[in-house]
Amino acid sequence: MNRLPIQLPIQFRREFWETRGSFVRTPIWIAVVLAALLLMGMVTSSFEINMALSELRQSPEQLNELEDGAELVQALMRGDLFSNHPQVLRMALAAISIPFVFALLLISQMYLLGCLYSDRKDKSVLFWKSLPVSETRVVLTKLVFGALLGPAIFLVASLAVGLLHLLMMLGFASFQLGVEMPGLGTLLSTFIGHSLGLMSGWLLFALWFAPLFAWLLLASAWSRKSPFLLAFGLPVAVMVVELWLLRSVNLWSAMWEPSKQAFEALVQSQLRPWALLEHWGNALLAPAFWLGGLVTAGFTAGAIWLRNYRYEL
Amino acid sequence: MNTVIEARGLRKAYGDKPVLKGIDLTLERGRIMGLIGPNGAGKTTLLKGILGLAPVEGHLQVLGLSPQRYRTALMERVSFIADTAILPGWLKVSEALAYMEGVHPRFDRARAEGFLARTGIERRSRVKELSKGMITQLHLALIMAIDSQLLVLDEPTLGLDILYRKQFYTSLLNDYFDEQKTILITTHQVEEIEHLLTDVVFIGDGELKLNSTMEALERDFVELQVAPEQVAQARQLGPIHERTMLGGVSLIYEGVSPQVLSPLGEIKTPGLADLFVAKLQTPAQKAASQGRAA
Repeated sequence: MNRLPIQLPIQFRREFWETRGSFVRTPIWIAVVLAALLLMGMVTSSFEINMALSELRQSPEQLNELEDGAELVQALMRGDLFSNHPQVLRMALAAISIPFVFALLLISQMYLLGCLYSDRKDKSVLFWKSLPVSETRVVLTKLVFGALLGPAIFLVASLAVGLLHLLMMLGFASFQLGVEMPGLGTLLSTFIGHSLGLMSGWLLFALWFAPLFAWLLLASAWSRKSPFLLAFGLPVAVMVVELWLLRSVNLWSAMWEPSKQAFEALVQSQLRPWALLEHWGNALLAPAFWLGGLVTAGFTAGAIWLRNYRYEL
Repeated sequence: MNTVIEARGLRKAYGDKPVLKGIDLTLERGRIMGLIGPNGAGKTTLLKGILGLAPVEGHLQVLGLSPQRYRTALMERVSFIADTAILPGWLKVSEALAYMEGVHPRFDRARAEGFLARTGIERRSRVKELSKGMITQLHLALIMAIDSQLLVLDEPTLGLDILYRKQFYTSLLNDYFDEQKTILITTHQVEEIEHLLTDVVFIGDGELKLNSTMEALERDFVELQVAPEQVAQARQLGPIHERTMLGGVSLIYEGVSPQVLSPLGEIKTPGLADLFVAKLQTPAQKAASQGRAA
């Protein structure tokens, strides 16, 4: 994975080299494991689904027990599942992105928490500082990498496995169950819509979540012993003191609100990818979104300042 | 502009403890200066000040710029190896070369490859797979391939075996140094760099104890080796240091003419290590060593 198809600026390539394990190999492994599980699942489920469907054909009254799912199963049995319920196609794609996004959330936060600490810990910081690269460039690179560029491979891997899942489902449904195939236009627009939704959803997520990302970066630059303790311990301590003295939970709300918006944006752009403009409009019109931008800038500036002017070497 | 480092009245204290007590230092282009001092003498603090890695009070300019304010710009023209600087374990040799080539306008990749070719270091190896000596060799190869105006080496050969240390200093003189370049070097192995220095500075207790060119050193200091019967007479000429040696006593004089001393015994230029001991000994240590000698 040393040769990327596009030559990124050297500072970003350096980040890929350092995080090969987390940002390159992890999504590839998740993709491989998921693809294997899907293939295995298809072999076993082809028997089970056939059995279940023939059972339902013999005693249709069992369908009522499925409640909401009844209509889908009927459509499947009728053979018009994809034309009447195109959201099934979308869900096949969205379901696959869930494990990728969860792993990505964990990895991007771990990366940001460690990136300005690990070079001080392994003492390579003096090597980096002996080169004509400003700390502003270093810190901004890491923020953009951790929030946007590193996640790109996860998203691409998720789309690839999603496409595989979709094609497998279609093949199985049409060859095994005789369900009518959706048109190529429907397929393409579903896939492109999902891809755009996923990309845009992550971008929106990252922007809403940016103050927290930047906080992790600041903790990483600030900490002497344990960035984790600082990043999580300090806010918790402040929240406890706030609750005790002021009987308020303002800090909690200040953190919770943008996180909620971030996850909401991510989920919504998966569920309703056609409403992208609406999601963006909602964000851009929210004062909290812009306030978060200010906080992000402040935390990032703090991290840059610490890298430049805290002398502990 | 020929002055590479200009420092006037540099001061620095950690809390109440002064580390630099008013250092004046000038380093001209084309010189190789040895900065020699015991641990805790302020050596590292001075180097950090020069490299813009720590704030120091007083007037300090490196290549005409304030190192603290213009650190990043200076790093294009100043290269350094700090004694504690370690290449990160995850970095591959090929990536180190690519990165240096990408960020450093004065890095010459072909030169670095040439230096590496003399070592057994492979391009695909990661730093963590290399031995300590190889990591230092890699670091030196990278840094020596930079066409910088000032090279600062802080204990550069720490952890290298004696063969490679000799080779490194030879290569530093033959392949790197020219009259456009300037080197500031600290090491504990004084003997190894003695022959290549043009200037020498002793730092002790936050002050410069000696700041001289090597030519002036030969003029100003004389070592006299006398037989035991001449010791009393030799002592009257005011030696700054004496030590017992096989078959007699060796005394070091500052500012005493060799003509005055030569009748008493054999005279020569003192080695840097002996001179260092002479200049940096505390009075108590001096009394102790003279007591033994007497």
